[in-house]
Formats: sequence, C-alpha cells, structure tokens
Amino acid sequence: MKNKDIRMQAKGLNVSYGDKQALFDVNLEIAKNKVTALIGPSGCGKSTFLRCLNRMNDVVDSCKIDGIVQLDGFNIYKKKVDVVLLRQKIGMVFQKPNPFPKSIYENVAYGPKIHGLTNSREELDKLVKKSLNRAGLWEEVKDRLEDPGTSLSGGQQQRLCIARAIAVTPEVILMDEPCSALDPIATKIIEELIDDLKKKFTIVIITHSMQQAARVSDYTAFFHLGKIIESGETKQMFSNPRLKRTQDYIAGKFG
Amino acid sequence: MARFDKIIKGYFFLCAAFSVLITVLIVFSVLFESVRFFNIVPVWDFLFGTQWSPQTAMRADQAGSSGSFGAVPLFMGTVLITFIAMCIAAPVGLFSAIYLSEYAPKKTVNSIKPILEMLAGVPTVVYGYFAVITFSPFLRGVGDFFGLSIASESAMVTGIVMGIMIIPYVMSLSNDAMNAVPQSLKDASTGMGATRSETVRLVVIPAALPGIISAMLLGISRGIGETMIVVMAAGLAAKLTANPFEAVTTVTVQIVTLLVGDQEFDSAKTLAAFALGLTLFFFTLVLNVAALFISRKYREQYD
Amino acid sequence: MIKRTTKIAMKRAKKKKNPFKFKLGSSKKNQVHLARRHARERRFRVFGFSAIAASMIFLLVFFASIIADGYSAFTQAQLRIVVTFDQSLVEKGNYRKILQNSLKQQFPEAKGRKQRFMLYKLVSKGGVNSLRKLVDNNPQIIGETDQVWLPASSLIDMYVKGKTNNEVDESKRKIKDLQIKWLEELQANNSVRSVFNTAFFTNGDSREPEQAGILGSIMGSIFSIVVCMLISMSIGIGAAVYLEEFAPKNKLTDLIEVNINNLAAVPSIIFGLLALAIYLNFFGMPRSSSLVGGFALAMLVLPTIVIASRNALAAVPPSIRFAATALGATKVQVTLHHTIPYALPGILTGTILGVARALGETAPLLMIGMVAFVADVPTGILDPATSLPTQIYLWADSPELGFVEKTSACIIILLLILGIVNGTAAYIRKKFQYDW
Ligand SMILES: Nc1ncnc2c1ncn2[C@@H]1O[C@H](COP(=O)(O)OP(=O)(O)OP(=O)(O)O)[C@@H](O)[C@H]1O
Ligand SMILES: [Mg+2]
Repeated sequence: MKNKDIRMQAKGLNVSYGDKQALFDVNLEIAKNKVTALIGPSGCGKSTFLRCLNRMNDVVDSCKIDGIVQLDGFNIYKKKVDVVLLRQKIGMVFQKPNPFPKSIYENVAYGPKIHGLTNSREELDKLVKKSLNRAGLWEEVKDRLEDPGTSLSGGQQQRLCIARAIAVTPEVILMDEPCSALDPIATKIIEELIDDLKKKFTIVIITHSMQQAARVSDYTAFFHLGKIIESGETKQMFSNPRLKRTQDYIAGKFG
Repeated sequence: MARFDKIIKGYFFLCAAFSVLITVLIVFSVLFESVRFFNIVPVWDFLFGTQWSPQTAMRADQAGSSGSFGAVPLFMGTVLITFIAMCIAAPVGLFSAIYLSEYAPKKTVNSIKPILEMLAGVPTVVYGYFAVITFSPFLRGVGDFFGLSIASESAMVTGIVMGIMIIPYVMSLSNDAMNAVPQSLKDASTGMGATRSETVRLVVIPAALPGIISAMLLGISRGIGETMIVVMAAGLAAKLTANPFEAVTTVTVQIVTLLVGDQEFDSAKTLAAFALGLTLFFFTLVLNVAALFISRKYREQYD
Repeated sequence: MIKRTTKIAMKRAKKKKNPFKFKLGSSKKNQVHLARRHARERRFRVFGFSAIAASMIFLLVFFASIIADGYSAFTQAQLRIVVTFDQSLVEKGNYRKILQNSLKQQFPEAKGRKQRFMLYKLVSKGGVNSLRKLVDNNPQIIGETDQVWLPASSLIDMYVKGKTNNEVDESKRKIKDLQIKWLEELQANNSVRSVFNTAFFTNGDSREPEQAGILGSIMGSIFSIVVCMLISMSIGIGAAVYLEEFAPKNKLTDLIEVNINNLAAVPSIIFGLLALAIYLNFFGMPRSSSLVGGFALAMLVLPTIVIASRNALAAVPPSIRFAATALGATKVQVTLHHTIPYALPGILTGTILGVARALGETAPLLMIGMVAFVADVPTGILDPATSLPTQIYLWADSPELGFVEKTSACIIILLLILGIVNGTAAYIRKKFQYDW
C-alpha cells in the first residue's frame, strides 16, 4: 500500500479493560476509499479495535489504551485532539439499528444541528435529503419525514442510522456488524450501499459473515484472541491465505 | 390437600384485598366527616373563601359563621411552599441524577449514592428541627445583611428545607429513568461527535422525560403532603400572600393544629380538619396516579 | 455580554489549535462554534457536580450542627454537696428539706427567701431522689454527714457546658450572679464534675430538662414498631405473594396494583386521620397508646413491604417454579416451599426498610395523640406513650434552653438507630440474597 493511500493506521495498539487485556500489539493500515473488513471469532477484540478508531472507548471507565492510532498521519490519542471533532470526522454505525426516538428528519438532522453545519432551515433540509438519498432511503420515507424513526423496519432503520452518520460528512465510517440484525434482502441493500459509499468514504466494517466480507471488502484483517493473525487484500486472503488458522476460520472450521 | 391450598390462596387474596380496603377506609372516613362538615359550612365557602380563622368560629355565638373556614389561604400557602421546594429540588435533583448517570465514574457513584440516600432516610421531624434551629436564624441573618426582613417562620425557610428533603426522591427516580435509556442511543449520539451534555440534553432527557416528569410529580405530591417540616417551621396564621419572606400556613399545618390536643369530635373545627384531609388526599391522589401512568407508559416503551 | 463570550470563545479556539487540517475545523466560524460547545459542556458538568456537592455539603452541615448541639447532652454536671442525713427528716421522708438544709449550711451567706430559693436551684429536683436511694441502699448513713455527688440543675448544667450567654445584663438571664459565685466556689473546691448522663437513657420524659430521658419514647417506639410489623408483615407479604404468584391478569389485579402504588405516596398525615376516625372514634381504642400507633404505622408501611416483597419474588427465576411444578407440587406448595424461601432475604430487606420508615414517622402519631407529655415509661402496648420522633417534636417545642441539647441528642440516637437498621438491611441484602 502506498503511503498516500493510507487513511488510518494503528501502531502497537494495546487495549485492556481493567485487568483483562483485549488487544495485543495490533498494527493495521486502513486504505483510503476502500472497504476494510475485520473478521474473527466472537470476543476476539474486533469491536474494541473499531471503537479505538474514533475513541468511543474513552466513554468506558475501565478501558486503558496504549499505542498510536493515526488519522492522515496524526495521532488521534494526542492530548490536544478534540474528540468531538474527531468523531465528526469518523462516524459510526452500530450492530443494532439505534435510531433516536425522534422523527426521521430529526434523526438525520441531529448531527448537523449539534455541529452547526448549516445556517438555515433550507440548507438543513437539503442536507437531510442528500443524506437520506445517499443511504438509499429517501424514496421510501420522503412522505413521512415526521414519523418516528423507530416506526421504520429494521433494514430501513439501519439505513437511517447510516444516513444519520453521513449527514455530518465524515471521512471514515466505522460499521460494527451493521447487517447482523437484518434479513438477507435488507442485508443486500446495505451491501450495495456500502459499495456505493466507498467512492466517497473510507469504510471499516466488522462482519461475521465470510461471504459478506468477500463480497464487500477490499482488504481484510483476521483477529484472533486480541491479535491480528493475518491481514491483506481480501481476494488474496480468501483464495490463498498465508496461515492455516486463517484458512480454517474462513472455511468455518472454528469460531 | 386441595382444601389447604384453597385456604392459603384465600388468605393471600384477602391480604391483597386488604390494601384496597385501606384506601376505601381512608376515603370513607375522611369523606364521612367531611360531609358532616359541609353540612355546617358550605363547600363553596370552604373552597373559595379567603378567611381562615377556625378558632373564633369555635365560640358558641359564632359557630358555623360563614367566612371563617375559607381554605384559600391554606391552599396558597401550600402551593407557595411547595413551589419554593420544587425550585430547589427539581434542578438540584435532576442535575445530581445527570451527574451520577452520565458523568461520575462507577466507583464514585457507588460511594456517593448511599450517602445521598441517607438524606432520604432522615425523618422529616429532624428536617423540621433543623429548619427551626439552624436554618431559619441563618436565613434571617442573611436577610438582615441585605436589609431584607425575613419572618422567622417564612415560607422561604420552610420551602428550602422541604426542597432539600425532596432532592433525593427526585434524584433517585430521575436517575432510574435515565439509566433505563438504552446505552445504544447514548452511543449513537456520542459516535456522532456529540458532547456529553448534548447527548444528555438532546437524547437522554427527551427519552427519559416521562420518567422525569413522573419524578417531579411525585416530588410535588410529597411536598404538598409533607407535615412535620411545615408544622415545625411554617406559620400558624392564615395569611394570603405571595411574599416568600412572610409566614404562611399550609393545609397540613392546619390539620395538625385543629386536631392535636383535646377536642370534641363534633365541632366544626375538628370536622374542618377532615375536609382539609379530603382535599389533600384528592390532590395527591391525582398527582400520584398521573405519575404512575406516565411512568408506566414509558416503561412499556422500552420493554 | 454576547460579544464578550464570543471573544472568549475565540481566544479559547485559538489556544486549542487543532492538529488536523479539517475542512470544517479550520474555519473561524466553526472553531468558535466548537469552543462554545465545549464551554457549554464544562458549564453543564459544573452544574452537575455542584448539585451533588450541594447535597453533600448540606448533609455535612446538617450532621455537624446536630452533633455540635447534641453531644453535650450525653454528659451531666454534678455538684458535691455536704449532706447531713438528719434522722427525723429521714423518718418523715422529707428529703427535700435535708437537701435544702445541707445547701443552706454549705452556703450560709444566702440570706432571705429569694436568695435561698436561688440557692436551692443549684441542684436538680432529681437530687432528692438520689438522696432517698442513697439512704435506702445504705441505712447506716442516717444521722451522719457525708459528701454526696448530686446532679446539677439544668440551669447550672447549661452554664457549666458554656451554653448560656453571660454577657447580657443579669436581669435578662436566668442564671444570676450570686449563683455563678456559688458555683465558682464549688469549682474551686473541685466539687463540680461532669459524668456520663445515664438518666438520659433510663428516664422517661420530664418537665425538668436535666431529668428528661428517652427510655419512655424508645419503649413507645419499640411497642408500636412491633405491633406495626406483626400486622404489616403478615398482610404485606401475603398481598405480595398473591399479586406476584396467583393474581390473574385482569382489571381487579390492575386496580389493586395501582392502589398499592398510590398508597405508597399518600401523605402520612392521611393515615393519621384514618386512625383517628376509625380506631379512636369508631372502635374507641385507647388514645396515645402504642397499639393505635402501631396500627396507623402498619397501614403506612404496608405498601413499602408489598412492593419490596414483590420485587424479591419476581427475582426468583421461573425455572425454579417449573422444576418444582414438574415434580408434581401444587402451585401453593411451589410458593410455600420454594418461591417464598428463596425470596426471603429480599422480603426481609424490604421489611426492614419499612421498619426504618415507621421509626421516623411522626405525623400520623400526632393525630392519634402520641405527643402527650408522658412521664412514666410505658410497660405495655395499651399505656400512653410517645415515640422517638414525637419526643423530638415535643422537646423541640419546649422553650427551656436545656431541651435544645436533649432534642439534638434524641435526634442523634434516632439517626443512629436508623443507621443500624438500614445497615442491617444492606448487610442482609449483600450476604443472603441469591444471585440468580
Ligand atoms: N466494556 C467492557 N468492559 C470489560 N470488558 C470488555 C468490555 N468490552 C469488551 N470487553 C472484553 O474485551 C474482549 C473483546 O471484546 P469485543 O467486544 O471487542 O469482541 P468482539 O470481537 O467484538 O466480539 P463479537 O464478535 O462478539 O462482537 C472480550 O473478551 C470482552 O469480554
Ligand atoms: Mg463486537
């Protein structure tokens, strides 16, 4: 990977919750405008790693982080860094759709409003429409923007959450098993959406589905017991993994 | 065997039914005496009269004379003191709850919460004593300093101390409500780059609003029904005023003054206490039931 | 004002230069916006912290002031008086005269009725009883002269404890210069001492502060709590079991539930009115007795117990019930043999919390007359009695200076008892509650 193609980079990342260490010396590069998939058995530290990328772990009292995570070459764990701004740049989509108990419109407008991104109602309207459009939801909800976000179907809710995340024009989007609560059709829609979004955003996605990782990602990192076992181009890793353990996992022999 | 089961089951049912009986007894006894009272003093005069002087009405020549049992000054006094109390308890209780559920680390919460709950365990007679002995002189001193004349039994003193008493209720109920807001919503907000306070103001509080409102209603209900603090620290004279630095009296104070000591049970004076009790019961019932239904609705939302 | 905050925000924004070359972060407008958000965040945090701190400070002031006022009540000043046990007076039982004569002898300069009256006021009226006890226990003292430690009157006690204001003119204070002089004479002879105030724990109420004790109110509290618990436990737990285990889901059950939740928030004084109307006026039970007090309190704490017991029962996992049912137990057997025993720690905790609530409750007891002056320590549930909180109320109302420390001391005792009770509840919860 060339240097200018690297958007984020983790170097020597060690993370522990209290006495329990969850990540051991993790190094990973995340390519710009590509989809990076994190795979690995349950409890191996994928979510922990993902949450380190936008410092969501700051919220957890017991969490101790050691190491470097860079965004465009700057360490985001430096004291001076403003997490608020950082999280605006690095958005997040969660495993279970979690729309706010507000209207669809308010859900998408939430980020722009707190960050003061727009100056007028028209501008905000435009931004909401754009974001919903990008998330492929606009046609479905344009007549019911005032309905509560929770009234949508699961798949729609997850797309609403994606729309909410991209409304603040982030540069990186982190997705923690975004499709695990969805049926195959909704999953397919989201996968197509991810394919579309990567033109503009850098995406990191956690998934338990090997097929999904193979379908949507350009790069893959395989986690096991808090360490990265193998990482590289998805095509290469799925067709010809370097390590036996990776092969076994991809083949469904453990995990 | 089946018979034994039936008896046990019947006993359990009777126990549950007894709790309803208590309510029925309350309503019945209070209502019964109130009706007798309203035979002497018209309801209208009681509810809308602005003169309250039960002592004079006790004399034979004035018995049942109209105008002496106007409860408006008592209602206003109760409202004034409860209002002052909620001005203290609502913000302090709410912000304490916010701090505990969103800011303080878990360890701190575990050590602070029991201490704050101690406040709730202190008997109100102790609060009343504190109001009289310590707080009232202090507030008067402060008043003197600013050239304000504050009555020693002012609504301010009583209201503030009552507010302190209500803080832990508001705090613990709204804390429960805020803790019930799913972590995923808070994460969503944080993940968008919201500051903690934005998450609290824009996500947590709106989501917990029913619970918080219900906490406030219960706080008000407690304030209205509180007896010992006002009996000890508030005034006896029924005065219609909105000045918080003057002494006012409340419904509960009058119930106590009318009934404590020897009394003949049939005088308008003692019956008036039951009419006041009925009013008190009615208003707190409305508040409690409203609070109950609001918080129930809310709980269903997240179940 | 707005301009000023903007300026400050700008300054902050400049200081906190962002290391990222963010499109948005770089514009001045956005930096100001961000700085404002952070300022608001800090303010919010400060509010939250201050709210907690305010409660803490209050609690501190509160305890400090109560303890500062009350700790002195646990000691009592005593005076050493040379007493002559005159035989004829002892035979007549006139110990008052003995005391008075002895005082006169010790301070012969007290002339005239008024001064002598002042002299007699040095020693507590309870001193007479002390003399009588002394003679009863030790008859050979009759006819002798001996030095005897006698409790000082409240007047002297307060002076010794430094609670009186001696700066004001003599006419405006209770303790007179002459009495101070006598006292100083006694002090010079080492004839004034301070001892643990046992009377405070062994006496009933009294009009004389130095003789007033809390035993009567403690007994009253114990009697009424016992009555209250017997009733509220047997009914409360039953009601909880019915609602949690047997009640069908219907309107009636719903009504009972709403009703219990409402009862928990009904002002306590209403329960007093109920007890007054039903128990005193309708059934004619004895006024001021712990029996009626216990009845009133029982209705008051019933909802607390029901709610706590229900929570405890609900925490027992259904799998246990299924297991017992599968073995052929009837519903009642399952409940009696399994559910209730497993829920017992929780039920007990709830009940103890109910006790704590009942212990501190005052208003309903006012209504049924448990605020009368009762000098005798009650010996049964039908005797007129007070309780600790009503005793506090009574003493708080007394004008004598001596009762201020007594009130605070009584509060200290009540709070200690409540602390122990709540501590027990917490202990049981921690130690015995099953972790499902
Ligand atoms: N808040 C926390 N407190 C303590 N330990 C935690 C916390 N979050 C995660 N852990 C621990 O860290 C380890 C890694 O957890 P993580 O959630 O990152 O796993 P994961 O790979 O995302 O698993 P899954 O696929 O099930 O989501 C686990 O052993 C977990 O128990
Ligand atoms: Mg995970």
